[in-house]
Amino acid sequence: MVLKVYGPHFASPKRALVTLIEKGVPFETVPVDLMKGEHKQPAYLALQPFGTVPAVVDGDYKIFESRAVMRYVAEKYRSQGPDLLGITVEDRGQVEQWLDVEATTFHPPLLNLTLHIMFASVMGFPSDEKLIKESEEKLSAVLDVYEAHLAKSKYLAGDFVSLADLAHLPFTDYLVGPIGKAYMIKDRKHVSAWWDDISSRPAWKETLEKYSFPA
Amino acid sequence: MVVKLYGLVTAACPQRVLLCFLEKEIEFEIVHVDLDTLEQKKPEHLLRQPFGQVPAIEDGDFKLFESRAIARYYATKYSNQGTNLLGKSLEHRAIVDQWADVETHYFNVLAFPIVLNLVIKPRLGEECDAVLVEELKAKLGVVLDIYENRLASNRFLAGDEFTMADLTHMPAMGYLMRTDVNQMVKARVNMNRWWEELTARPAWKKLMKMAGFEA
Repeated sequence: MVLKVYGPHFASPKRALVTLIEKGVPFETVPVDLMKGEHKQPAYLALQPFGTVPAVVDGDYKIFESRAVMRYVAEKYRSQGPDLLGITVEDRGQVEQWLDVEATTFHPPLLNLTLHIMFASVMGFPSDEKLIKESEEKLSAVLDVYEAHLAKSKYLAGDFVSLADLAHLPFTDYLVGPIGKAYMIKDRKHVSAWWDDISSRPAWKETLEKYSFPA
Repeated sequence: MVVKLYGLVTAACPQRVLLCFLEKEIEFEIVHVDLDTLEQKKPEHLLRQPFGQVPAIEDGDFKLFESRAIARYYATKYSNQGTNLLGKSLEHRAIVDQWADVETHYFNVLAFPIVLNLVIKPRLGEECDAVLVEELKAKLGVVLDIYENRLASNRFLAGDEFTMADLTHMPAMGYLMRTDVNQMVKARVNMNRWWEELTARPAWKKLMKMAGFEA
């Protein structure tokens, strides 16, 4: 039985999808209709009790939280594809550090921009201009730290691409696209070079090609 | 050489690392960073933690920040001593990671601003946003119901044993339980049972003593 990823058209599940594709792991996807509230139905809540995407089912085994799925896939398929966890325990420590930076520091302001710029009208709440401005300022300060770091390091955890880099792909893709703030990346020389590098990886291109949100 | 933890024993994020050290019986040294004078924003600390936060560790030449990443690193490096924090198999480890990530995305996002308003602001002589606190508590209630359901059929978040998933919740829970939010936990039978078991652990008692919170 093949591993299934629920909700492939949305951003967070793409963290799992790009990892699976990088590691050459076969999988299937199951669409989840957020607009119709499918994620709040009992059948979905049985897979993901918080009612968010993704959820992953691998035979009898169920797992949610996109970064937990990334770690699981990277570890289970360690011997194939690029080593996205680094080689040593210390390498892995650096990967975990930047994966956590993405989760705790980079993602929250970018999520605010995503919701208030891309989805407010669709989801039926007023777009908060003050929050948008504050979130852009916060994200800008974070990107300044990334700029200084990436001036000395090719990828976030060192000279190898890792889960930490891949975790940034889905929402940064929104930032440079539909959110309309590509300048935040392009105006920073090293962040821009890093972004060009990771977003041109074949696995990410395939993810976007197959699972972009239908227009 | 003993690992140095930059931070302070009363702050939640450093406590996450300290708990890991205590559970794993790892020797450590705390180097005090004075948050009241914003020492964490000064150049010397920014070299260790470029986002201007605590904790950071230095272990010989190896440096790391982000408390959850530090805890995972030491839990891996010292997997053969002290409490096993990372599960018994790859699949179990992924469930540990899943509930640890839930802490970051669903629990801490609510717990942190509640503690900020109910505990930290009063101490600094600032006004607490009571309206916000009520909104946050309502959202927290929904999240705690999900935890309650999980803990009804699992002794700990990831199964039968105490793991990183439980440990990572403890610092913020410790602060929340000192506010009237403790009513919300006590009203839920399984959450109450879980918290009592967690706080009976010797590592927690040692930490509370170090922090001057218990006799």
